[in-house]
Amino acid sequence: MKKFLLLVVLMSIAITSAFAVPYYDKGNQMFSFTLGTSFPTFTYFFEDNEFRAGLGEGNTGAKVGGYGAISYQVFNSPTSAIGGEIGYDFNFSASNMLFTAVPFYAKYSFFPVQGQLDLPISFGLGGAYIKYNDASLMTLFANMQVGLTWYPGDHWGFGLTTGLWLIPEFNYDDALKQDNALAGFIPLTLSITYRQ
Amino acid sequence: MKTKRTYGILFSILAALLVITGCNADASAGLFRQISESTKPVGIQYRQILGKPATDLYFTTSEGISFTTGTTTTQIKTNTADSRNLAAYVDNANNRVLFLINDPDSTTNSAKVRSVSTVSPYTESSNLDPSFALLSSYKIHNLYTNGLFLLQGTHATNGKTFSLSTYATNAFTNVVSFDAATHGLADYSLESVLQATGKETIGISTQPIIVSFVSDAGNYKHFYTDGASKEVITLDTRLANFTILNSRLYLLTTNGKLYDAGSSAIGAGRDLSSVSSMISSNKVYDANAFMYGVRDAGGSKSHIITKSKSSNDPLYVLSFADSSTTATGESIRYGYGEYLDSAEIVSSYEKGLNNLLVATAENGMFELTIIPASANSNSTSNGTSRESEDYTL
Repeated sequence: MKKFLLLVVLMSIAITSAFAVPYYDKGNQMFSFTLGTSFPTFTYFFEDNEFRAGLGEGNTGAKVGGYGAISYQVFNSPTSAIGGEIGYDFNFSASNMLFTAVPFYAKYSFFPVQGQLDLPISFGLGGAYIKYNDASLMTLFANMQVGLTWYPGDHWGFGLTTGLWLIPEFNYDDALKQDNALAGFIPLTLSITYRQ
Repeated sequence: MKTKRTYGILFSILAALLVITGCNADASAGLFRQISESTKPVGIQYRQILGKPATDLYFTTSEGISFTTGTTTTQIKTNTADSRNLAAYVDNANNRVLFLINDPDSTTNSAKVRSVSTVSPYTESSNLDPSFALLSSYKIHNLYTNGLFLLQGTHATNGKTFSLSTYATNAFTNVVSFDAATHGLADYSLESVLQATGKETIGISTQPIIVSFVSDAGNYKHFYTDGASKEVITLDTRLANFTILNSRLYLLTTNGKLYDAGSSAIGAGRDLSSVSSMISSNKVYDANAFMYGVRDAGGSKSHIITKSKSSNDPLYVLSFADSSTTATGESIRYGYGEYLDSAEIVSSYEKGLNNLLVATAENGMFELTIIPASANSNSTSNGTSRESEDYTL
């Protein structure tokens, strides 16, 4: 049943996209403010082949956190835009210590549905500065997000976005290599977008 | 052409990111490992284990002073704004716990001594005002669980003097002292009083201590003493702690170096300034770090279990064979180290050989049993740890 619903949604997007008149032109721009939560979803330790999923003690060890960001995109074609985003994420661990991440990444968005209602599908790749207790490092950051933005007028829109962030940790110190890992977060954010 | 240029810029940025990533050099453990192993605070914030002079275990928490029979815990002193326990000692012979509180007059830079009865109704005394014949204008700096008070004052002929003294009948009695004239401490202040892990409640005559001083210029002087005699250890660095194993003295520095300091017998002095360390780990320790030695006599090996200053760092064992000049290190996340990789150890008490109670700041108290032959094995074969607060007496 779930697969059927997903198929219907994808078909609807494809049909709408195929017959829709593009709203945007090359050169249009978007500026967004984002605020929401982030859910630590999994941590995978490569050496132990250990997969920890879920919130809190005994799992990822982290709790639901918060995320805020600003982003800018410019359309390079009527259906796609490129740009970038910089944000700030925080999550408390089970022992109530603070984990922070500052992701900054290049972003490519595809708009199969656009107009009064936009449906951007975005892919991001860049870096993130992450910190927890006595550990901090600059690492890679990748994400895939899907959003829905409603524009009651021509310029201002209100959106809801979710997706998956991937943050790897590669340590080159021999003593820490056993802790190399990949962490996943699911964001759920609200946004205000101005387009022109 | 323009698109190619855009992609070129993007790839350049990503290449630069790849070059600068992964600089987690100062961490005690991986970042996501630390988070995944974090645990909820249990609600008890231990400060010191005061020992088990008879059948009950005495300890202090952020709330006050308590004892437990193993099944029932009784708080005999509750901290208040005017009477907050700083350090304590169980004076079992006199059915009381001596403890320090801040002097209400903060300009004195000294502490006040009080006592609380260990017999119901656990009455707390007013400030005691002990006399001290050795020093004039003395200040009380600390109280250790072996019953020694650290005092500083001025000696009539020797000048600035630090004294470790016992308390009885409202007077201090000097056990061992260090002064400006005899020990060259005119420009020095106290750095630390180091007590062997698990043996902090044992009297100084049985269990020696190391007293360290630091000068205004940042130079260190260490004295190894059992009260009756003392010797200088020449090693110009900050010490984290020491342990005595197989009749030898081992020193750990705060920057993670382990030294074999020779025989544990107190002699005329030892110079380690040109001695190579057995191992230089990337761990950073505080003074009075957890440093517990176990001896595998059958395997002719020794293991020193340590905990760095990072609460999210697992126990780290330094191992070496008899007469070896080098040691190896191993992190312990399993067995006796299962619950201590995300805990801050504040105090410990040796119940028996290789059997410890370990109190933590946020995660409760644990009982560890270590198997010496496999103490450096990062597996369940190295021993066991009871869960938080599931310790026995």
